[in-house]
Amino acid sequence: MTRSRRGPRFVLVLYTGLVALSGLLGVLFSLVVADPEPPRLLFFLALPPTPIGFAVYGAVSIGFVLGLPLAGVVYVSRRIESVDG
Amino acid sequence: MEITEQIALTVLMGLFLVGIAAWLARVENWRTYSPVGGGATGGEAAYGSEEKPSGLIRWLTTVDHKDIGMLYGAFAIFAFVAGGLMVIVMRAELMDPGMTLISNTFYNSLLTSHGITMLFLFATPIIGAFANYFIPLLIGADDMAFPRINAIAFWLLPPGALLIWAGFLPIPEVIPAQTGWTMYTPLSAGVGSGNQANAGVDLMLLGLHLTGVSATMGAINFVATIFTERGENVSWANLDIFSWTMLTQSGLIIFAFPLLGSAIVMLLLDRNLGTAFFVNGGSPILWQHLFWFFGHPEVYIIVLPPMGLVSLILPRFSGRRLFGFKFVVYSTLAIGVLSFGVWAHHMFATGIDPRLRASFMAISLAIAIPSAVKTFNWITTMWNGRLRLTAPMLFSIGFVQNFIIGGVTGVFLASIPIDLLLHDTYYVVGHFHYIVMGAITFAGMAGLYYWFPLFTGRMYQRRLAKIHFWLWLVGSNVTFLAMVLLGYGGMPRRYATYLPQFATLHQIASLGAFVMLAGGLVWTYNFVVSWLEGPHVEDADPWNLKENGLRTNEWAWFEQKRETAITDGGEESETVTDGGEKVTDEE
Repeated sequence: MTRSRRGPRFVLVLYTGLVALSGLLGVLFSLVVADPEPPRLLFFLALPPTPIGFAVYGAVSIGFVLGLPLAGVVYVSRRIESVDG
Repeated sequence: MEITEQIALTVLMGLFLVGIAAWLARVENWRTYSPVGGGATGGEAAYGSEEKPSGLIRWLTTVDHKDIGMLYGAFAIFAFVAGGLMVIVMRAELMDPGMTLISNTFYNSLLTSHGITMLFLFATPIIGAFANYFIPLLIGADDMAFPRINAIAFWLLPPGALLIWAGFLPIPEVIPAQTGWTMYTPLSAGVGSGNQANAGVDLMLLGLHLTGVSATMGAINFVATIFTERGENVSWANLDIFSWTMLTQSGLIIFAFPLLGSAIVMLLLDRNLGTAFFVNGGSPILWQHLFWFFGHPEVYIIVLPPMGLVSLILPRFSGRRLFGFKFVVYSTLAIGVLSFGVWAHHMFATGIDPRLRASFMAISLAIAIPSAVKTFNWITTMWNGRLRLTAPMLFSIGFVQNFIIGGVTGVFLASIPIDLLLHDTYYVVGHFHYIVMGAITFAGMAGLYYWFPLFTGRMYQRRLAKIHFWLWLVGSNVTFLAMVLLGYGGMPRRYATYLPQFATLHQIASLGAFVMLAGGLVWTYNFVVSWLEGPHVEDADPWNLKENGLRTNEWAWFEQKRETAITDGGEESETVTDGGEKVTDEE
């Protein structure tokens, strides 16, 4: 027996997991690379070159990069049933 | 004396081959065994002779697309195990910074053979397995357009594998190739003071050539089959997504693999007859151009059909049709065209003209768009559906997750300044392993689990299948994320030894590989035991696809096969399949 799960909740869990992984990678990056330069969030906001700074950089950047298409998914799903006609 | 021995050996081998041919001709009447019907949903399965020969002869002489699909599958899985064990030895060696378990040269041999085995002897043949078995069923064809060429294409693979692995066999004075899977000149040309002038490299090149010929013959067959053998009810408009990806992939093979074959012949001539294509005054960079003109389309050759598998399987456990089917097809075709315009992004660090680099960077970034379109459609399909997390579905979702990570890390590599920093580091290894292992192999597993009831008539153990999935998902991410971090730290690829500062991340990467080994053992046990002793499938629709109108032709064929089969009268217990019964989770 396999239970069925609602798609939106599952996709959001997947999205959150990927964003969290990016934040973790940011922390680890700051530990692996010697003397990293301060990251610039979305090209304009300077963050400190600390584990937290890189975690925020990683999570927010990937959250934005994946979040925009996800917003598109939500928009398309509400308005269009099928694009194949 | 030596010449006499060689002549005697040649005569002996010739007699041996004649003996085998005579034996086969005696036990099998070739002319009466030709397919006249087979896979069509509504067609008639029959052969010129009343039934297939039994035992080993069946498998040696078959031209039935399903049998050949099984042969491809068995071969690919054998190669996958071999290539996997090679990398386990390598990861064990990398647990320690120094040379501990194996010599550095043997590490280089394993590194070379692991890459070539996984790409040419596993990834391409496992796709051939699915395609041979299911394309004729999906499109309502009797068989492949050229059944005998289909058999020849498969039977070129075992000798190809033997030649590729010849260096590991106990043959005097033959050593394994240590050129890396890219076989860059001048190293692979055998010049200089190294040992790569050895015949082991020539044998490996000849083996690769055979696998290329095999892939090209298979591709021509798939194009001919999909164009000319479709059933009456299968038009271009309703051709399934897997067939679309196979058609595109076959086109890529036809344009890419002959170029690899030509480059290999040129390299063999340089090595053995003193020509000057790549060395002796020729250009080592020419090899890179020729190799990557094949090599980057090869990436899409092995990723497009797995994308097709995911596009086929994922909607079936989402309870709805694939969202944006046409756009998934268009993106497949777009990737196929663009894949021939990105090869030089592997060569940004070679000093090629900066204007050329910029154009290749632009196309490399552009190819991310159709890939993103596919991901968008998979996510939208899941978003709108109710998901059944069966093993095939889990592996499909694992594909999507790992493909996103592999894709995002790849976009950075397409940018020239970042590539110059990360070129030849472990970052690249982590990136492409996310694609080839994390995505392609996961999709292969999705296909194997999805069709397991169809090609065995039995059901696997779902608990073990899920343990396999989670071990692989965790193991692959631990290993490949550690590799990405090693690359950020500046660890160069292809080394058996390293500085002590990289030890922790290497040990973490090895730990992940051992977790994947554990998952592989679970998978092997599950498949073998379930195939031999698993409960028989009671229903021709084990995934309950009919209720959502999602059943495809191969399951209709399976139903017809079960209805017409002569049962042995045995009584079997009822099977509760993985996903066979749905319980709605009110959330």
